Amino acid sequence: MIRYTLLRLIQLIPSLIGLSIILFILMRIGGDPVAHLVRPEASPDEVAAVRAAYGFDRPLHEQYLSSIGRILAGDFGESVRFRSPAMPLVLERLPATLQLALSALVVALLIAIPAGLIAAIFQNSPLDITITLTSTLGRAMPNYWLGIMLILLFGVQLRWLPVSGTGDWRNLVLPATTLGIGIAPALSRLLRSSMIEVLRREYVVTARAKGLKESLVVLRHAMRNALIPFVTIFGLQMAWLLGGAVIVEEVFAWPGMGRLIYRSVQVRDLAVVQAGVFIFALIVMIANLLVDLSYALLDPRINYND
Amino acid sequence: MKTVPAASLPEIQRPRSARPAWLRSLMRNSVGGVGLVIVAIVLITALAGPLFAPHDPAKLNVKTRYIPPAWSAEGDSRYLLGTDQLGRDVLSRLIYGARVSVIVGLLGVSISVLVGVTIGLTSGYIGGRVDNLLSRLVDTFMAIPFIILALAAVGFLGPGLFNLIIVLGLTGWVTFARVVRGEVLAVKSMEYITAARTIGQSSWRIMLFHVLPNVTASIIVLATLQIATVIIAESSLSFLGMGVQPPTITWGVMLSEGRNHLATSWWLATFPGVAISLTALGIILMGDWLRDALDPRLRQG
Repeated sequence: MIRYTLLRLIQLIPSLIGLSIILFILMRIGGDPVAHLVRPEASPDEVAAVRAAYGFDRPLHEQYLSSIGRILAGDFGESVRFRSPAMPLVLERLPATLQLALSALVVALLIAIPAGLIAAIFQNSPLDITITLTSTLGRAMPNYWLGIMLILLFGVQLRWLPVSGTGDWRNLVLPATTLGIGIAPALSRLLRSSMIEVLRREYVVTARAKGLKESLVVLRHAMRNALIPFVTIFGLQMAWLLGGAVIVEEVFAWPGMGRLIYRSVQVRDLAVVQAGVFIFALIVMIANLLVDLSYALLDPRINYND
Repeated sequence: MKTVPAASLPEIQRPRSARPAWLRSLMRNSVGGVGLVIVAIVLITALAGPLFAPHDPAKLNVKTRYIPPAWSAEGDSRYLLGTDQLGRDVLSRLIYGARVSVIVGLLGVSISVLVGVTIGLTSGYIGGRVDNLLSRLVDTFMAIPFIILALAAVGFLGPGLFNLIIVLGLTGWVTFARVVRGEVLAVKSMEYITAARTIGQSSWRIMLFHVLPNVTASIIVLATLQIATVIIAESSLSFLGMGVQPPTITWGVMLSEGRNHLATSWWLATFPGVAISLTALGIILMGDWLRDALDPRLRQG
């Protein structure tokens, strides 16, 4: 297990190098990076001085090689807007985003697990079809629009919940619900299909045959195995949650990383955007790593020593 | 297993009707039919919208500002879905907006298919170091949330229809590469490929004429579903002001303008979202049906 963990950690290195290349390209597609660092009225001499100071006058591959060390160390330079190092600015807002993403995950599981279970147990019944159609509709709705509709209903019409900013738990309800509804369909569909597959297995038939209560068969015997594929897509879902967070944070004025990245893109604050994308990707990579490692806990048949 | 008398076999194997397989599967899956109808309506609207839009979508009119939908008390039957803050007809704008969604969806996904399939084929067929390198690239792209990469890229390139199509195309190819690579690996070791190689066909010829046809079904299904993703992404980026810019009419821009009038004019932010959701719903239903019809292996549950 320790060897496997180390191996997976080593496998992160090429991904991180790939990430640094993507970030390097991203920063240069907007034209001359020096243009964003100097005042618009700067003289050609000043521009040349800044260019030399940042090393932008050297060939591209040299620029990349000299930047890779800093990128991997998480040093992206100073934010033009805040006049302070970019990485701390991003990390400051990380807890808010994680709080939102994890609350959304809880909402999604609260919806998806019962929905997926019911759909699988009553396969092809009207109930199953209703659940399947509702979840397809959930996949089709842009989540920022769902957020706006929730604001319209609970904020403007009913006035039950605050619609923007932070404060107590009530501020979290609408954004977390919006984001959670976004991933619930994928989770419930997956649980439904893996549950259907597991319910057909012989050990489930045996459990029923020996007279176990149906609730015990479903929850204790079947669901445990049905949840394994459920965990595999957690990494993908994390990417989706963080992506969705950018827009949901903007809609609800939630002070997280996503909103910071969006605002930084608007004013071309390259350092902050780089740092933000880097952290987002790193979180997804770590989530994927945890997923791989958690298989061992869920499925003892998987052997890591091979 | 019971044995079947040989004489009765041809009888059983003859197809029961002359209808093509896709039509029969469509009749079994009525939901897929609903999807097909929605997609057809959206396509017709995008192509021929100007012919039946009731009003000029860009015409400003101070006298007709903020008219609610026709069925509400203050509604006006000439403006079925009401008018916006500048007095423009919402329905006409929705009809014109379909065009951008369709263009971005189709062209963006075409780019993704081209890039993704090329990378997937190369990676799976050549294997070895090339495969290793390309797989790492795919892994890396998978780790960066699609919409954030697109947001940053389009933000730095500058907003606009053309840039948006390019960016959404170049950020959405990963799924295609992954699936195609997997399918290629599965097909590669089959005997007919070995046979083709034995008679001296070139790698490119084998990839294009022997491997690719085997993965087309998956590509069509994925591409259909990806169109929905791209249409939603386009509307999201336009909503954030990073996509298509006014005066071009898009559902995302309409939504973002309508958001400023939530407290007074609910319909402005509501209907564009309904249009996006219905379009995406139609495409997803169609994609799920295609998956069942074209490739039973991909069937879920």
